[in-house]
Amino acid sequence: MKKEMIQSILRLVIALAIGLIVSSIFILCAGENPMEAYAAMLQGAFVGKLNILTTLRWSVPYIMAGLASAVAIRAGMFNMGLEGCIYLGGLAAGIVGAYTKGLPSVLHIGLCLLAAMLVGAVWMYLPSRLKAYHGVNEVIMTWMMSYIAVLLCQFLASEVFQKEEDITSAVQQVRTPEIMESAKLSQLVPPYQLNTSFLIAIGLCVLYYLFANRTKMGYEQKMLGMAPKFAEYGGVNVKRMQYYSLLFSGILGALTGAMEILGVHYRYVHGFGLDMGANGILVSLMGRLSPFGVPAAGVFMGAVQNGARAMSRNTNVSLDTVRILISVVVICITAEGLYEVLKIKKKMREGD
Amino acid sequence: MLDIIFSEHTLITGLGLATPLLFCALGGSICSKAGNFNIALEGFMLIGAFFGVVGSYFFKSPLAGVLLAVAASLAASMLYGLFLLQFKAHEVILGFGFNMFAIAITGWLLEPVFGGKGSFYDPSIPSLKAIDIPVVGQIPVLRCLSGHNILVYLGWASVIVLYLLLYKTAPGYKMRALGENKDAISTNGLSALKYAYLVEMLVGVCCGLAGAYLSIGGLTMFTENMTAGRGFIAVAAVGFSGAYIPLAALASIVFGIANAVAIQLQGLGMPTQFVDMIPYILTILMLLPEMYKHKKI
Repeated sequence: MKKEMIQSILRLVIALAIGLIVSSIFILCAGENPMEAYAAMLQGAFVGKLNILTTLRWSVPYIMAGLASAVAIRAGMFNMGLEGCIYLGGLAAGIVGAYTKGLPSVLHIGLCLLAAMLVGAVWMYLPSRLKAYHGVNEVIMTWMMSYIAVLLCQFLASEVFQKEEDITSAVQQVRTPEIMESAKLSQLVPPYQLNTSFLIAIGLCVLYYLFANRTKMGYEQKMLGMAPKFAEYGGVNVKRMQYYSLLFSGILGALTGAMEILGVHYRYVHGFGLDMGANGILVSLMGRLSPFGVPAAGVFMGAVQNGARAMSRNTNVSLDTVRILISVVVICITAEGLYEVLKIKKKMREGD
Repeated sequence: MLDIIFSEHTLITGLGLATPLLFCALGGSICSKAGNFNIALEGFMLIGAFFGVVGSYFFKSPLAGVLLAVAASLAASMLYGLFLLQFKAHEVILGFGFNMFAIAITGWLLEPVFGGKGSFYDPSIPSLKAIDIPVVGQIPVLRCLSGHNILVYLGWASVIVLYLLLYKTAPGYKMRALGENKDAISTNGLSALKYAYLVEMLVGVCCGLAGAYLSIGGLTMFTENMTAGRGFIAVAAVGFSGAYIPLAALASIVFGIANAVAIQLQGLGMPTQFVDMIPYILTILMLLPEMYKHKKI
């Protein structure tokens, strides 16, 4: 168990190291010192109260999206349409938050989150059903649905729900009216953006831990992901498990979007979830789907994103460099061979 | 109204829209037959598209653009092959990472190379010229087949060439064997790795040509993430056809024409977002016949 953990951490370190080396090359090409750039990034992520709290604020959507992705991957499937779910959930929460009046705060927030979850479930119903019961490839299906969802949200927000007074020449954004005070998630340390959604995310991680390690369903799901044939012979209802796993992935995705809207933006702003789905998938992989790994990886991703903003402000390095870093980590993270190559080299050195 | 939708013009546009899909679907079919569910087609194509513009811009020749596009896409596909075959990365996650990488790197390169952000357009860059076929150009309806650029014709020719390669030659047979039973190749004393790399090379060339068509086939321009899911449409076409090359080619051409018809709807007052959705909805529809395939088993 302990050896396994060291190995998985080692793999992560290798992937990160390769990512950092590759992005260093790009930083050098931009005429900057990579060490200074990374220092600016670290400083932007962790130095000072503002930066730490902002890092934690950014970690919330990544933890949530990571959990959403992990639920699907544990059952051996990929929800590539996480981004679509995030947008839809955000829009649903933004609309319910703006148009229902006179509810007490707790009820109102609950209603918003419920609406988002419902929309996420409805959206993922078709791909989940088709994957589980008819064998349609979920990777392409969910990815296509994601494109459709983002376009649908853009249409609904700009043509249906946008109000005249929200269109300002200063802000060239598609956005819906501001949500009611009662629907806003309160800030933990005002005036910083970190809010109660952080606590909700931690709570969901605990639930995920209980589900994954303490329930029969969680065990069956793991079995299905690791050895589908074995699970089927062992009496797991494979179809039902796949169906619910993908459906819950969509629900959690929608919840991610809703919490972003209720906690930070206070209205649906089109484009708020850019790259969140993809980064969520990376978070779940970096965290090895574990209930402890995913939040840790989420905080890490939050730090990277927050630090990257500081870096692009203070140096000549563009945000695309961070996207290169992240994509290289995605490429390397499942490459078992990289680890093996290094291990063999180490053994040879020991033999000398 | 109907005659606008079903005009020769629509057919010509459709054949043009089908070309990048056709190339990608050909590459994807070979991959699929060789047992690789390749979703990185999109990324290879995007890299090809970028370097197509670069080649055409710096060498003032569209042919150089095509060559550079193919070379860049080939390099990307070999890298993909290295990670897939030798570092044993997970197929789906690797493809996903490659697509992210392609978007990031082309976005990054755009600024130092062309000095702009988001997109690059310069009417002075030479694009591929349209070629008229002598006799066909005179016949009504059939004349839609004429007046395309060289890549369109090359696409149609590749269908036949790749079909013959895959089904009528020894290397093609071995490539297909790779997908059927990898160990059979090794037990026969052949290098499975060699043929697997050959497959990745072919897919790299195909996607490079697709990318070149996108960026220098008509207008010479590059915009960030300009492939916009076309690679996935091709993957869906491969799934739809069971990776049988002639059927995959037919699926992508029908898809192109259907898309061209759908674009005409914009003139009829449909909101742009819904028009933009059409290719994705068509793709999902293309996935659905898979349902019946699985039911039979």
